[in-house]
Amino acid sequence: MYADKKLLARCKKHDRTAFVELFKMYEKYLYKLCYSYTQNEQDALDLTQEVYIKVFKNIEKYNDKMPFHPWLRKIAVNTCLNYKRKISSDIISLNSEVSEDKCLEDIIPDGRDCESEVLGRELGRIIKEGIEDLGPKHRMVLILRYYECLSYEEIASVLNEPLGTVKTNIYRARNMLKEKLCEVSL
Amino acid sequence: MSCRFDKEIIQKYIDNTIEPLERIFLKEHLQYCEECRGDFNILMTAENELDKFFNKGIELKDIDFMIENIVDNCIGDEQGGILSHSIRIGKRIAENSSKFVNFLPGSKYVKKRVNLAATKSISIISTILRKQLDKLLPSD
Repeated sequence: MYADKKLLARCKKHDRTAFVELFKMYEKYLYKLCYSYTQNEQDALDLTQEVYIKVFKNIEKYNDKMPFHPWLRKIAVNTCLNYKRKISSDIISLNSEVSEDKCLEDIIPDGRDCESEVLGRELGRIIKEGIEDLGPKHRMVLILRYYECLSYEEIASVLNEPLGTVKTNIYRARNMLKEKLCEVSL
Repeated sequence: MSCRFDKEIIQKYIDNTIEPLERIFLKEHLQYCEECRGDFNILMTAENELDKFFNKGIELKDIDFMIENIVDNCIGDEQGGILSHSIRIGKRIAENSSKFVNFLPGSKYVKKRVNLAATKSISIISTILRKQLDKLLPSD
């Protein structure tokens, strides 16, 4: 997934097909990043759209001597951090989505489900809820660490924060998730 | 939380940035400290779950269609912006180029005479028209 210089040069001239090609190249990456942050399909689509519009409007500012991916990532991270989550209803229907395409009906185990399957789902649910409860910065450091597989130094550079702050935020985020897991296991 | 063991060493182990000596120290400590062993196990579970969580496949819906729309809208906005910008510039050029007429010598006199001539012409034309109409229309 690397946009070549010719494609980016065409984008700088606001070539329609070049933009479509570039955006399609990064669609999965961007959507997953936004989804990891929002944990909501519609919000993730809105954010992805917002990132694309920012890329279109600011493509002249992109320095083509530098790699494109970190530039795009910085736009995406800032867009996510500035995003105000829409107020959503607390009422959950049995058919409402709780994770990807699964609904609560799917989660209620039938007789054939083995113990490890239930435990795996339960752990996944706790982690999902735990991530949703984290503050924006804690959530973002986890995304950059686990989805982007960045080092602490790279995360500090993306977020424009001191290395110590990044480490503290990751440790705190992990500890918060640990507390969630402890609550359930007690 | 009674154990005063440096918990950062557990975090370093998870990050794989632990020093060899710290690793030995941690291993020994976990053998006899139940509290830290519990923390270690839960943090390792959380680590595995985070890895799974952020790297699971997510189904993409209608993104291709959305991309085409975004690019079309952005290009459309930009072209609309260029058009209205050009119109504004054109209007400004026309206004500026006609401004110099006000500063020509005798321009006010010419303006006054033109207005007067126009009023006179209108009254002459209307008198002629009235006379012609009177001829055409049958009188009582």
